[in-house]
Amino acid sequence: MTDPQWDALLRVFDGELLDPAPIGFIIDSPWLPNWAGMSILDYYSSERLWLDANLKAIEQFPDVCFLPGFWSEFGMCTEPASFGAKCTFPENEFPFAAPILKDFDAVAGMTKPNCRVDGLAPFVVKRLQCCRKDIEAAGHRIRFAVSRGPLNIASFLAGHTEMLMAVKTEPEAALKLIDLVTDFVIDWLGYQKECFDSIDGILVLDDLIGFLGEPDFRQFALPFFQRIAEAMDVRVKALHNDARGLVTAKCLPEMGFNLFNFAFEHSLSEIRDLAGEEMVLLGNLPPRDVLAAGSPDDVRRETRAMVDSIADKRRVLFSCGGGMPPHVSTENIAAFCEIVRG
Amino acid sequence: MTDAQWETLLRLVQGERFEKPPVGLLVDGPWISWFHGVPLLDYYGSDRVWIEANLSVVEAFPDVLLLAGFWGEFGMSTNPSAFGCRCLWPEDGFPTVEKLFSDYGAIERLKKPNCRTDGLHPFVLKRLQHAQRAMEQIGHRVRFATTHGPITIASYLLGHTELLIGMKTEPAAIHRLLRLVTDFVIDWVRCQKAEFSSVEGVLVLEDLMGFLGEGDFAEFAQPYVAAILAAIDVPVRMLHNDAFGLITARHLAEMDVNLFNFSFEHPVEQICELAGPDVALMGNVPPRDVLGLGTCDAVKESVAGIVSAVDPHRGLLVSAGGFVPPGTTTDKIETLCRTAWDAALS
Repeated sequence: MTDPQWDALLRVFDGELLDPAPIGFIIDSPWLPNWAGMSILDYYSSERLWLDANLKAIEQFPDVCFLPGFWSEFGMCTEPASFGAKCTFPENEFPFAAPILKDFDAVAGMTKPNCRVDGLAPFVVKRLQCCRKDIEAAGHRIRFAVSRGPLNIASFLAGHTEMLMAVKTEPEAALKLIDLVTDFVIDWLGYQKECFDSIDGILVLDDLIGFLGEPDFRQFALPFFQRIAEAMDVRVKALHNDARGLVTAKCLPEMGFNLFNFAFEHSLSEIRDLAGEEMVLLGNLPPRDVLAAGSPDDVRRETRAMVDSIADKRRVLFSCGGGMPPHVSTENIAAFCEIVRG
Repeated sequence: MTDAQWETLLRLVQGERFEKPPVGLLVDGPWISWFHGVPLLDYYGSDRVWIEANLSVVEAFPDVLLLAGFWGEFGMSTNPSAFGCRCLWPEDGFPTVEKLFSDYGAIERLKKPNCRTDGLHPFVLKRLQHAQRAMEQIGHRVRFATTHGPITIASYLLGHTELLIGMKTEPAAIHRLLRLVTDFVIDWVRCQKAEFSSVEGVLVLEDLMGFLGEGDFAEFAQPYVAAILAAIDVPVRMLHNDAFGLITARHLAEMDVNLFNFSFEHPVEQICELAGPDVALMGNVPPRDVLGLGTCDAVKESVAGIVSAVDPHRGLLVSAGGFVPPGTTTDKIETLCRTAWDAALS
């Protein structure tokens, strides 16, 4: 993100009504590599190709705030690798981290990984360090420390079904696991901030919290996100959950987050009502069915409906309801921008 | 390695006579990154740094065969990562992995990884693919399929002590593990050859075999290494074992090894006698104490001793007795070359 883009983002947080309206998209490996003409594995494995793809995006869409911007990541393997998850990297599919826990008794034997040394985390930081000069030469800075959230990571370590079952059948072990992962996430975000003095935001991605009802959310999600938000002294605290998000939205102020990227299945107005006036909303055109699979005219029509769906446009960054999905064309992004910017 | 360098290596393993003995050095991340002046983690983490560093060393030493040559590797983490070992990357140390098994019973459940997708292997392949054009622009090609050997990999999965004890207490489980790892290694070297048509050599790095007595070597090492070398049809079949190597040397021919890099602790003439005439030898200046920490005079003395102990004109690749360590400077490598060539001519 450039300095003017970052300043504009902060003005959105201050409740200023920007003209033209601001646009933000979360972009990462599901969309960027193929859009830039390379495989997902090329994107992960080559610093040069990763940099080229990210530079291409900012040059093609200079008026869009890409979040987190120059995101160094290895998909869902990024954090689980530090815990020792076996990582699989197909050429042009999403990478996968295999579970490491054969049962919840094994949680007692787990120790917190060292984010400076373990798994792929050192490679994430190295990529940014090695590319920092190029990023800054393009007028951009590293603004966000990024991590998957504790439930999301825990679900990869234990298995998704197993993790959600454990919330009911082995709550103590589940809490212990989430607690340990939260400690790691705090270390990991803090380490990124320590490495890059331009960081003034965090982005935490956790869809798994959307699978919890309110009581479970308050026990298994809320306190851990509070700890993460409290641990990071930054101005922007962004949360992504594009699974079910009504419980999340209601709890956002308590969680300590101030920006929310949420599912297209909830309207902007509904989330605004739940999250409150102070929350910055990042959403929420249907990513797959409209932004990726629709025609430019479909995108124009649905984007117009989205913009019109909320009367008070303060503290709204127009986007899609989730990260940019695979196969979104340049034309469709341009159509989106054309409508939002008027 | 350039075409001319590769031709030299082929002539060496074919037993041809050289006026001046060729010089070859086994170089990887620790020395290349040190020589290029970058942290080891930068070397592993950045393909730009990796290619620049490798280009700088081949340009600095055009007369030296640098093996494996543009080696895509992540140290000891490379192969065990495919099995799911947690990789550790200390900023000031060598990468390593945590062992995978807490007991021998877990071996039963182990499945062979997919070398094209699992762990760091796809990153190794990609690094070489992405570097190919830059390499070929200066006349170099990917010549070797490289891998750690089955006992070394198994020792990282199970723990070194546990593997060696297991050979005595749980031989069936250890054989099961070694068979599976060997199958994986065969997939891996074949995959590299399939990806890079210029691959005409295989390099197996297996120090752990040096910890085995004769009987155990025959049971736990020889058949597995032989299976790997039989599985890939290439003219250069190189083995590195810079631990105890006398038993290894005696079995090289039956494993079909034709180039052996061995420890400085064995006199070259002893290895020569044990290995027989069909195996070219690569050695054996003490890497740490002479090349790394010693003076040029110490290098000169060591090399002179090597070339005077055996016929320097045939079957000898003058080298270190193991990997080139950090601290090995340009002047020491030049001294090594000059001494080898001058002594042979005189």
